[in-house]
Amino acid sequence: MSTWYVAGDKTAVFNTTTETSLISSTPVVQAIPANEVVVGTSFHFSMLGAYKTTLVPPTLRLRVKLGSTLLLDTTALTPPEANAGDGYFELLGDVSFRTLGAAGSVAAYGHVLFVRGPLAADLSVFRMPLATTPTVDTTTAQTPVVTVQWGTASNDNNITAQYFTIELLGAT
Amino acid sequence: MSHIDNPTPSGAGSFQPLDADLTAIAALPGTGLLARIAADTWALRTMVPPVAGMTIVNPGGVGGSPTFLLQHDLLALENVVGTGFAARVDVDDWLLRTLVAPAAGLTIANPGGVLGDPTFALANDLAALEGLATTGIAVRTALDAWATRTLVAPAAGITIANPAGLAGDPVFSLANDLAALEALAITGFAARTAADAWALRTLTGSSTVNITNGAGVAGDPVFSVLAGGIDHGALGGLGDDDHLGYLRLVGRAGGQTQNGGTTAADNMTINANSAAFAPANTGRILLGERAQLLPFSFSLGANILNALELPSSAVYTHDNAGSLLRGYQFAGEMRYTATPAFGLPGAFFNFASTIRAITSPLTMAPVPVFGSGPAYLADGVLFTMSDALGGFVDGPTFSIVNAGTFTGIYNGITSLMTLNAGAALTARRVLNILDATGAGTLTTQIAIRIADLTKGGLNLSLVSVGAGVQMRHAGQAVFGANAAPTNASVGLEVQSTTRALLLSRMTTAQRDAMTPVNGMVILNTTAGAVQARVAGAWVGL
Repeated sequence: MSTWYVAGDKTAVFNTTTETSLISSTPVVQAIPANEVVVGTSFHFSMLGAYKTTLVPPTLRLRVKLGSTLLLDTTALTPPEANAGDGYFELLGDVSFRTLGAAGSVAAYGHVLFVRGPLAADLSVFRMPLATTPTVDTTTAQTPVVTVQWGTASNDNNITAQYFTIELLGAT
Repeated sequence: MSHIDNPTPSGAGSFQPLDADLTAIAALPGTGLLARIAADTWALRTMVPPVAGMTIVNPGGVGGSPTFLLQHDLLALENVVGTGFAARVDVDDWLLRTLVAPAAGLTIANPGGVLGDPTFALANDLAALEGLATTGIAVRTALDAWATRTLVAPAAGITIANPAGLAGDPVFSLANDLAALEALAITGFAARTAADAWALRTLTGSSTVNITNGAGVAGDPVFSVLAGGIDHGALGGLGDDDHLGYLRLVGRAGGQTQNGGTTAADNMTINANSAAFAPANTGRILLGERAQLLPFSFSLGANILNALELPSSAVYTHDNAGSLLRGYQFAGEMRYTATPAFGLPGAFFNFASTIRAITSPLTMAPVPVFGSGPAYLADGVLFTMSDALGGFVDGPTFSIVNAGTFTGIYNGITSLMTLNAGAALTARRVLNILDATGAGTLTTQIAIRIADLTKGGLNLSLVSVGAGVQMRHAGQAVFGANAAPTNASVGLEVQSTTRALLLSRMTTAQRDAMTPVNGMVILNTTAGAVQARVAGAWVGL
């Protein structure tokens, strides 16, 4: 396992309903070069951070992409209310290349969990399924992307990625 | 008269009674127009015309109704036809006039005053001038365009008072060098003696050079050499036109050639001293003594037969203070391109017949003294030296020609590396093999074995200074120990319990400046991590 990317700073998204990147620009995440991956090459995404909501939590949507290709998607979910700013979230995802080429395919699985207290009711886990197998062009460079989109714009609806890493798992 | 003879009825059954007015009128003695001048008082009047402009026919109405007739100016005005301003152009002569605007600068609305008062409006340059909003000297910058300007003095030399002309005329004043020049009171050449300070100078001759008009006032200064200045005859021991011993190259374009005679006996002789004065240690003939300023070249012609002819002796001898050849920092080559014809054994140079050329520069200081005995090159001995030697700079290049064989280089180097007491080896380049070139066959493999260099200041045995030099090795390599590789699959191995492999250390910018290849491993000093090139990207390990 090799470290593909480690964010050098936190990234916060709040007071907007526009889909916005949660990846820091320090440093800029490096793209997966064209024609470099082989069948079995895998990437593990791990993002941890804090979140806060209004008293009535809005919907929230997290997406993982390669370039513009959607790999993982929570769709619109409602996280546990965290108006006190004590919410914590963790996104885990794995992407593995199955076939190569302009119409290459990947297997992608992941989930995101939200925790705001010690009770079971304070924990929510959401899958990030896709209806179809993503098609990724491995003959061109592909840049990893993680985005968030709030359902309601408010300064209280704030999600901050404190840690984000991408690890490369080479094929055996 | 006490009654009215023919009374006029004033009303039904009544008559105007006789009153004072009628009585006054009846009393008037002459003819003319009646004018009641007071109550019950009447007088006869006649219309009197003005002095000019009008006459009245029948002014008293006696001969008929008074008739007014215009004359002079009034008659002329009345006779004017048309509209416009009336202008009296002569006595009793009037014409119509219209205000006419100039071609540019002014326009007049209603110039004839027919429809109203004539109105003047500025245009073109006058309008632009009127439109100026700032103060200063007006300058026409384009057609119908004006701007205000201020005279700007240069940084030094001139000052301008009232540069915009607001408080009065701009006044220029000289300053600095110009003021100093203007203040000079005498004549001559101006010389700047300090900042803003000038003085007048005069070219002054000497006992050998005369200068007329040295101050340049009446014309250009003219230099002339006085008799005896450079006259050859003025020099001791020489007469006029005696050029013996003179070479005046200074200022001669293309140099100067000193030709000898035209027959075999016409030798050109240059003596270091006169024949009349020949002490034991006389002076030398020096060529290119100023070669430190410009490169000096001493060139021999193509037809030289004996370039350097030594005294007629089998062995050249010299005292301890001199030498046959002596050079400092000699950067050229001493080269023989034909079969050498050096002297017999015992002469100054005596090479074996197989030595064909010396093509490498030799830098020797102090002057080397070759062998106390025969100084030829024997097998395995490059040079035999019995005295102090400054050192070799860059080893000689060996050329094997004419199918010759060169052997014994190993022994030769061993001999060179024997440093006797008092000797010093200043060059650490023990062996410098440039290449083996030519069509010949190299049958002996080159092997270098280097033991501990106990006399070396650095522990580097092999140094390559060329950035483009590649070090290639097809077999296995072990560093850190004199041991075999761990197994046959090892390509490059570091065997040590006290040392480790040290990766290339570089910043992210330096890393990204490389042409990366998958498999590279570095220590990124910016990220503080060991990174490898995998899948076309740098990843942390």
